[in-house]
Amino acid sequence: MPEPIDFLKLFGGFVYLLMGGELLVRGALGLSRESNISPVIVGVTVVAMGTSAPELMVSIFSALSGHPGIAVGNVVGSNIANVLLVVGVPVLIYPISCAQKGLSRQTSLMIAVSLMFIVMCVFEPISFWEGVLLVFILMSFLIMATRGAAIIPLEDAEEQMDRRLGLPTYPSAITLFIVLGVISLPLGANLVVEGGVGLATSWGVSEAVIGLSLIALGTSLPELSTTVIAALHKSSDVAIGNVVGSNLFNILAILGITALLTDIPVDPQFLRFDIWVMLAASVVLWIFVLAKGSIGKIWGGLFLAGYFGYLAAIY
Amino acid sequence: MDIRTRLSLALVSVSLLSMMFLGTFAYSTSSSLLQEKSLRQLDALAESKKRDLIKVHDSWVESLRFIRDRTQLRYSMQQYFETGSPEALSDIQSTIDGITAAVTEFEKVIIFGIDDEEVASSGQSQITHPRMPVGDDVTYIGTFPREDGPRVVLSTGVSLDGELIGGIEMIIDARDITDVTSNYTGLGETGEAFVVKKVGEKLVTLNPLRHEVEGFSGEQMAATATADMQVVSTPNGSVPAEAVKDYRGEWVWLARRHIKELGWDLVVKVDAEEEEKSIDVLRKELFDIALALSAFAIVGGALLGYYLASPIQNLAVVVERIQHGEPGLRAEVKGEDEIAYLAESMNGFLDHLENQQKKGA
Repeated sequence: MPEPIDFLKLFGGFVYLLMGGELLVRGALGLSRESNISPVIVGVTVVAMGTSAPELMVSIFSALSGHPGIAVGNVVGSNIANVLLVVGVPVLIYPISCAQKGLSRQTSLMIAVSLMFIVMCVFEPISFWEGVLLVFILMSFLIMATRGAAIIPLEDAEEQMDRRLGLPTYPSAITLFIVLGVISLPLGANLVVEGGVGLATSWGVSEAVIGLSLIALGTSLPELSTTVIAALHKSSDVAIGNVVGSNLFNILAILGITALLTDIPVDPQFLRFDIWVMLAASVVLWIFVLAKGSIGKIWGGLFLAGYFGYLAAIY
Repeated sequence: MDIRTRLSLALVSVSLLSMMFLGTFAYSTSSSLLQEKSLRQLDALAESKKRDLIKVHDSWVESLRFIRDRTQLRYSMQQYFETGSPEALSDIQSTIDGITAAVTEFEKVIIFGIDDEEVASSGQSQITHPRMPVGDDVTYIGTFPREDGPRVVLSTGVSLDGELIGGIEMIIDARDITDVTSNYTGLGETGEAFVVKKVGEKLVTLNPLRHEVEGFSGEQMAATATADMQVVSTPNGSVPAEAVKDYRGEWVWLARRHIKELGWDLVVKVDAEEEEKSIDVLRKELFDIALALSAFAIVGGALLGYYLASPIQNLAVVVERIQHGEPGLRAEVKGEDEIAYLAESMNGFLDHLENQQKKGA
């Protein structure tokens, strides 16, 4: 299979995933607005889950189609990219303060969940009951969020304002948005997995490497663009909350739900290197949050250097 | 829903619908095109195997000619037929012994006179057949199927100084054809090639088959034979236009070649199911590529929609900000379209209001 076609599939897949996620979230938000459901409940369920739908779909598709390396790689690679890239790039534009209320508790939970994930990887495959445990923790976290005891990866104020007018109002339009979203997501996930597997074969690298790099990068691009725009508007503090929330969702929701559907074998390569990079990046972020410090340009440069160094190492 | 989203959705929908129509047409026509291509490949494979079989036959003919043209053998034969000399007979015997020892596929070589009486032979064979009158050149006598493989019999006349003095018959172990038929390159997991010959009322395969079927030994009555073997009786090498059932009961596509030098028919076939699977894989690949390409239509449509609707969005943002306490703000007037007119009018209206407020104060 020639490489350009694989790149094309990867590109097309990401476009369909983004479009599907966006349509699903808008359709569901429109539905909840018309049904007068509490915005907090909507934020916890629709927005948080809807924005993770692309990653979830890629992981489920890859695990079910016999490419578990991509599923685990996507989660580990996304968590690394979230800290080193999604935080690293916007702080070059505007510093981020880590002194948000409730952030330290949530970041501690992220470290705890990451450690639990490492233990699960050691005793691989990640099985159904481990999936049940992860989803149980996720549900507890979401319930905490609805009671205001946790921060969830919500959109920033400008995005919310933008969407106020961008939501469908008619039942037919709401249905169309949701149906198109539900159709686009698996189509995109299938293309991403096929493109990723094709590239891994062409380049002679493992599927895990493609999951850790290209696919993780692709699924992290929306978060990156959001935080960069927020930084340009000098309101990038929301980025840390989003990164921590996204990392929690990646492990709890994506791996949890995927494990409910099929056992996820873990390539020993992850335990040798990648998972420790993920943990190290999370710990660095945790230290910033505990110290209620501010991440500036120097650290941003170091984060980016770390990310590109990591990519160089896995290739 | 805002204008930007509506416009983007409309543009994306139109692009996707156009691509979908194009894709549906390509998808539906690709099936027959791919099937046609597949059948052509099968036909080309049959032609290639036919040529390989003819080459095998030609090599036998050349070998027999080479033996026939050996001067010492011809002189020994002439001397023996004229004088009955034991030395000449011994020379003939030693020559043909050397030949059968050197070339293992020559099962038996027989030397006979113009009265068809055998004078010498080398090798062992259980093939018996009525002697045919010798001709000037190599003549194909027949193919004789046996459990351990077919035997082919060729004969030729031997002349000296333009006068026919006797003949040579060669019984050839023809298992060489298996090298050709057992090469399954291009035939996938289930395809196969076999040579069929009509022997009496039966159709007999001359090489081992790829698939074992209980109770089937490669022979069928011609009248009731399965369609894959029965095609040998169709004229001019024609084959059915549709898939037919083979000796296993599976639907197959086939190509056929008649090898007139040997009276054989070569059948090359592939399972329709396997072939359709590979066509499905190709069609899925086409679908994926079309889907991936349509992403450009989505990106292009969304960007174009956002670009075209951005002046309206900007106008709405200005109104929103004025509502939230920025009364001095004015809309940007850009271009000469309706939106520019609206922005200009709104600015004029806001100026008027501001002046009225100042006067009132």
